[in-house]
Amino acid sequence: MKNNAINIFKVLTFLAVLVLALMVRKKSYAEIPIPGQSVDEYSYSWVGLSLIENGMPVGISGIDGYKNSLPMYVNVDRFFQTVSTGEPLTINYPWMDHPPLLGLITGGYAYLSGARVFEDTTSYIIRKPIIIIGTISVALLGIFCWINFGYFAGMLGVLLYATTPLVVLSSRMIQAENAIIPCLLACMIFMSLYIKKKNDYWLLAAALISGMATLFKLTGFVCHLFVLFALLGNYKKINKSFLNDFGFFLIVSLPISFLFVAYGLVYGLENFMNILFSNYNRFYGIGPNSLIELIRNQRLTQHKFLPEVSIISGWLVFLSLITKDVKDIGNKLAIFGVFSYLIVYIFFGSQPYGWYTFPFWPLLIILLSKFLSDGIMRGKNFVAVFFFSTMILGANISQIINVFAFQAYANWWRIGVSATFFILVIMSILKLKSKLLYKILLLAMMAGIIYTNVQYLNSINIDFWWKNIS
Amino acid sequence: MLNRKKTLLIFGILYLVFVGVLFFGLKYRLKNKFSVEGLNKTISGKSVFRDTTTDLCKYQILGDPKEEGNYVKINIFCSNGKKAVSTVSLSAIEDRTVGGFMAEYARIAGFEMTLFNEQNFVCYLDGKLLTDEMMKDDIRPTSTIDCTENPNK
Repeated sequence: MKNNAINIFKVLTFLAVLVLALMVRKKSYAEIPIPGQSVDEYSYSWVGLSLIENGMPVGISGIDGYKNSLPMYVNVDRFFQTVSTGEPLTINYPWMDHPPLLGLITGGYAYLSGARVFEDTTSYIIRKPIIIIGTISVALLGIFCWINFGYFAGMLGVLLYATTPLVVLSSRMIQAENAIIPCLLACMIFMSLYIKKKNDYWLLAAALISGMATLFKLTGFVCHLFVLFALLGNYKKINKSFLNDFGFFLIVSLPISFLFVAYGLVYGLENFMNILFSNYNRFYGIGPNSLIELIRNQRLTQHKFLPEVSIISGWLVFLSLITKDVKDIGNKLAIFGVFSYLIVYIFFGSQPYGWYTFPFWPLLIILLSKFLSDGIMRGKNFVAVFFFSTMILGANISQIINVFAFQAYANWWRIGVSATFFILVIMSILKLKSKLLYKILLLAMMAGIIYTNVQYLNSINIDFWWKNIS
Repeated sequence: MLNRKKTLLIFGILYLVFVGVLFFGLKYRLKNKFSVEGLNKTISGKSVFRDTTTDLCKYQILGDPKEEGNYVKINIFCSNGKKAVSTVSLSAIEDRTVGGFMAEYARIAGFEMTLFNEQNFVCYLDGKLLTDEMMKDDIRPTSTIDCTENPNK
């Protein structure tokens, strides 16, 4: 009876955080990020809308190899008035840059909402499905953490991923990566369950979802790579069991990916192959410094940066973990996820658009959540956990109030943080532990981080965007 | 535990049915739904959701097209002191007459072209007074159209 009540409480708090995730994503979703800064958002929706309306996928590309190319001014959301470079859009058909599944979701939703022409697909309409998908990603991240690290880490992961400002803003954008994220997270959940329970249904589910991920974009192959690493990590060698499992996985997942080819054939093999090869030869804009850029600069679009300390902290935790022999299945799978997407990112890398890096972020938040929750609940690495918490909280505070306004609180910060470091270092040298002290201190800091995340998000309006996010 | 062979057999059958429906369904739709006219209507059709304006100076096109020598500038000066300054790439204009250009500009900015006359705008093309006859002439790349609202006309 008591256990039931506790479980109900846990589920209800989890759902409450999901409501928070949805609310922060929904607030000003049609205005920020500024519509038109990534015209891909319209392009995806136009592909879906034109497929439904005209039987032909039409979108913005600019890739060489298209026979039908129309320069056009489609002034949806009046973005030619706000963020335009003055260049007309290059509209191509049959559009084959990517598979059409995301377009069918956002364009299909627009169609159901009454959109019939491209100008109808305003951000107010087309971004609605993507914020739902973003909230599903939050739930899946929480489920992964809950299954593998326990309820507290799950809640911490959900809270962080639900409210981290850059994650929230990014999850409002119609980019295929935002659809690949829930597929990858679902795949990670299924694989962790398969490894723990050895039930084939989980492997089948992972195969189905991996195939589906590639129907959003070919970089969805990250799921295939992840399953390869997860199975290898489980069996530790290429034996019969590994080959059986991976073979079964591929027999189910690859034909689903192949649906894109069947779809492409409808509109002509030559066109399909032209675009595929043009895509292959794209400009390698992420350059050789892509790894340091990944850690140092978090982008939303090509030119819009919003350094996010939670993600930088996630990278630091990741780097510390890969120097150790990680035993924990959850951590192992998250590390495999990061490496899988890193390989895909480096291989496919074209222009340094922010959205190409979005799939790293949930994985890094998973690693960070586990690291922080171990510190809070078990006093593990408490000096480091306090360091990271202070770094994130301090960065958030500096985003909310400027350094002059902060002077009113400067002595509290100066004495409070330095004294806490002093005490924690002494305790660590003398190997003294006080779980209660760590819990109270770090839980207060976590509450501060979540509160300042939400406050920071509330302060981001169009003025703030133009002045501060650059 | 799952019987993998049986599962793959069922998956294979469902998959082939799905691929068939997808391929022939899309082919059928393409054949019956697609037309260039219909497509153009979808691409350049006016939105029912978008506000149309009677203020010709309310909206403009920011920036400059990259392609050199293939644009037309249009400057609209309203009597309330506001102005709209735009440069439009000719590559995106299908009807390359002066009238065609102005109609396309009106479509992009979201107002009715008839408002030029109704609101007594006087327009000049490269310094020459723009008459109704000139609307059918081909528009010269890099030319400039200046329209000024003249409430006393």
